[in-house]
Amino acid sequence: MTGDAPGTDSSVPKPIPLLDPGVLAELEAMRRLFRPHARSAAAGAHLGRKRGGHAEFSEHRAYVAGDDLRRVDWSAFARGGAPVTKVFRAEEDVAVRLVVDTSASSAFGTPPKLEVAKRVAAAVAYLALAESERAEVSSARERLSVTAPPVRGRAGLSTVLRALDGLVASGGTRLADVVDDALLRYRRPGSLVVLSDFFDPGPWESALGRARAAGHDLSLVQVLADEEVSPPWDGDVMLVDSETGETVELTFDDDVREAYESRLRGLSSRLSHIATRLRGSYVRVVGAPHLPTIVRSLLTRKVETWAPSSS
Amino acid sequence: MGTFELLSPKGLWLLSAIAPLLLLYVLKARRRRETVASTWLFQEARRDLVARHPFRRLLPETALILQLLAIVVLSLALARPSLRKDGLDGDVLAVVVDASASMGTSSGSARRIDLARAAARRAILGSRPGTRTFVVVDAGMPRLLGAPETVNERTLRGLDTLEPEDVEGNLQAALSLAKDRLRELPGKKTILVVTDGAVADPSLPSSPGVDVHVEVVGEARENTGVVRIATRAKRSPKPGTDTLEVFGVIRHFGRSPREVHVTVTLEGEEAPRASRRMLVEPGRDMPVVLTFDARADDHGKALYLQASPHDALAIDDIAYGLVPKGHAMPVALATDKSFSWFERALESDSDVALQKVAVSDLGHMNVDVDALVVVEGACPEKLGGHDALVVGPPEGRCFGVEVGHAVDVPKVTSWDPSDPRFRFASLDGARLSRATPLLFASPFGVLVRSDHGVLAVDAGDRDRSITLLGFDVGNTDWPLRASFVLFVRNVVELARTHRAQGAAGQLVTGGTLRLAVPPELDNPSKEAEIRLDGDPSFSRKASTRSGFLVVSPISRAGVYRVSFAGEAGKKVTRVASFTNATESDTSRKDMSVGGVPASPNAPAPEAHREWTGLFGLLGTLLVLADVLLLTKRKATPEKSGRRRVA
Repeated sequence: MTGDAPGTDSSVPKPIPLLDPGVLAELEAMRRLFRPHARSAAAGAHLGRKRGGHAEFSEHRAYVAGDDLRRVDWSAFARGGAPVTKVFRAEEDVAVRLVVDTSASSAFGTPPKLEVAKRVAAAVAYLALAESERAEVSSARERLSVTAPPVRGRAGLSTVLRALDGLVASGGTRLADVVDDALLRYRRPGSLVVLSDFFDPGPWESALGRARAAGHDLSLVQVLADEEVSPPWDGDVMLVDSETGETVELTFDDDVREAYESRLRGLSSRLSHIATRLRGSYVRVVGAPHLPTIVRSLLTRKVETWAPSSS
Repeated sequence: MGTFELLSPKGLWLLSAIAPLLLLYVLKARRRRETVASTWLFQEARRDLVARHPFRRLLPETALILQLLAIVVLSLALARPSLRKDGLDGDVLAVVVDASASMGTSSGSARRIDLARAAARRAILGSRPGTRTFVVVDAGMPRLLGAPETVNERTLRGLDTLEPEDVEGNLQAALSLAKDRLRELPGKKTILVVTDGAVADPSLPSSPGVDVHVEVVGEARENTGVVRIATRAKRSPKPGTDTLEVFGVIRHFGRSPREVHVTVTLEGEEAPRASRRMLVEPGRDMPVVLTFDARADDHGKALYLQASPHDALAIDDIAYGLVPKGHAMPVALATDKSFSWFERALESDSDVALQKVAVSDLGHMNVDVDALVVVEGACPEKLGGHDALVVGPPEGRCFGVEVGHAVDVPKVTSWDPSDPRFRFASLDGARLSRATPLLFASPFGVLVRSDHGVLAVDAGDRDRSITLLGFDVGNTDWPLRASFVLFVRNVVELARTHRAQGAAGQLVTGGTLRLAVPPELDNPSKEAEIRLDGDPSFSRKASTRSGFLVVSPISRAGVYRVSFAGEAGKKVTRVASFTNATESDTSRKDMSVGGVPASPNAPAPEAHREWTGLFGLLGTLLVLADVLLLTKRKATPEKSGRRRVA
């Protein structure tokens, strides 16, 4: 096991297990849905997109000078009279990189957004490891911080869960820098799952575009608290930013509430469009909804919002 | 435009509420602190709102602004803001109210005096608080209605009971009284004259340092009035009666002729003794003479000369007179002589009712109060109010004249032919054997001079004549001349004239009642009571002095009954008439002040107008607006259940 990495706090009491048996059972049923689109060019249980030497035959093409003679399909040559070369889909290893927002804003909400994000990350990591893929947990504040080295297979699940358990919320957020840090760290493309509230006015959209251009498969999970979706206040309030300490004075009435919700919907809409444009997925999670449902939406590349029932 | 001022600056204390309000607002402005994940979207939302509703950013301050404005406006309301206008303004205001007879003229449903009271009240109540006000009543003799005061209740109460008097007004005198009173008081001085314009002189003088305004009340009305009355008794062919002539002058103040019915009625009778229907021309004096036979029991009764139908001013539709006591002039001859030349001369006059009495009985005999008393050889101690002829008084003092020692054979050097006693009479050629010269201080009243001094004087006064002859006519040859009889008749005629003035009641309201009393009633310790017919509340007391009872002023027209204490049988009737052409002319003259015309029918401009009510209303509206703004509530959205949002 690795030692405490930045973002972990061993003095924090152990939380409720991130994956209870019921959830695990449901996740098992969803294993077949786990088809990450990015490929790390390392050998793995999934067929890579890159055409390569091993694994599954894909197609014939006309022989051109220089082709490996061992890939010439002599049977097809004999039948057709023209030399053809076999093309194969190589089996590649998929790295699922879970970037969890651990800035101070993630402590907000009931339950705290960080806890919700940990559970979603734990579920995705389980699926990846169950498919013998690699999983890695990083924390996002002003910069990316890897909390544990990547692990593969089911044996690595406990490492991932411990790493997630140890995440605490503090500091600010600069998602653009975090994504860029991820690009520098992770040379080979993989599945990049960003779990955050995305309350960051910085240029993270362009950073995500760069990540996609580098071949990463993007999954955006926006985690919000109920109070952030429906502010409960009325009258004169002074709102204090949990990260920057900045204040804004408002007299809450219907007009103010409507204007804020409009802005929030706009942010979600923007994330949705980014996900669609970058051929990723986007899920908005409000409160503590049913975990497998969220994971299913991620895996099926839907753009949805999930919130728990009031009962 | 006017001057804005605060009548009660203490009301501004409410402004002190601004400081605690601001403090509360500052404290209230400490908003509830709420920590959020990020203020980014809230800031964006606020920017969106400001972009959509630019004035929204003022909302937090709108309530404070409304509250501050409400405090300021209500403070001003409490301070009683006022706009002082030019015109009827001053630190002291004198209101001269015309209460002359013409103010009784009806004007619509009210009388002019009612309109004048309202105008005066309006001016007093409309004056700036702190202004001292007083009222001068113009009713012939001007008088003050209370002292200048800032609190007007007493003045207003006096004003409410003001009624027109049956006299001619004198605005000039009233104005002078007002100015005299104002001179004693500091500050800006203003006079408002409220009149109906029925005045002798409509041009009022201006006065430096005093603003004089005029408000004319009442509409012009046509009027017909009795402007003169006189009575005279003549010998009647019917025995036991006199023919009484009642002479009246009717004047019509109107545009077209009017028919009136003139009647003479005696007191206690309903049917007129005489009547005449006549057409009165506008602007002309129309004489009328009504004649009837007066019996002996009619003597001394009051008579009423009336013009009907009554019109706008009722007081001048009736004039009062008295039925004279017979045509014969009563003469009381007090002599101890067995033969008197005066008795012979008086007996020859058929219009003389001679009463012979002893000198010693003069003060005790029942002698007609209007009688001429002729005394020979003595000087009566008490004469009462009689006219008198004193012949040959003894040495000593007599009616203020020193009677000297007897002289022999004085020669008459001159007499006064302009005196009515010597009309057509003279002493030319008359020889006197003996006379007692009179030492008379005054240069006036000398009737006859001789080489030994003054022999005859008039020692009387304006109401009666007292002729002193410093010689016994028996010591002269004058009685043998015709001029003696003429002299005696002239003396009788002079007394008759005085009697006619007293008897006919030619007293005009506003004048003084002077009643000649007989010697037995001439006692200052004996008080006389004067009552007025038709007014049980009227009662005046007066004492006699020097033979006369004087009551002044007489401001009511009517029949006065004079009774003497302890003398139940002695009652005298006197009458006073309102006969005044100036007051009967109820048209309106154009008033002016210092030559500048006064606007007719212009109500006195308000000295100030208070805006307390308006400011109070505005302040209340601001408070209501603030309440509405602060209590505005909208429903907050409920937390929703699990939902999917695209």
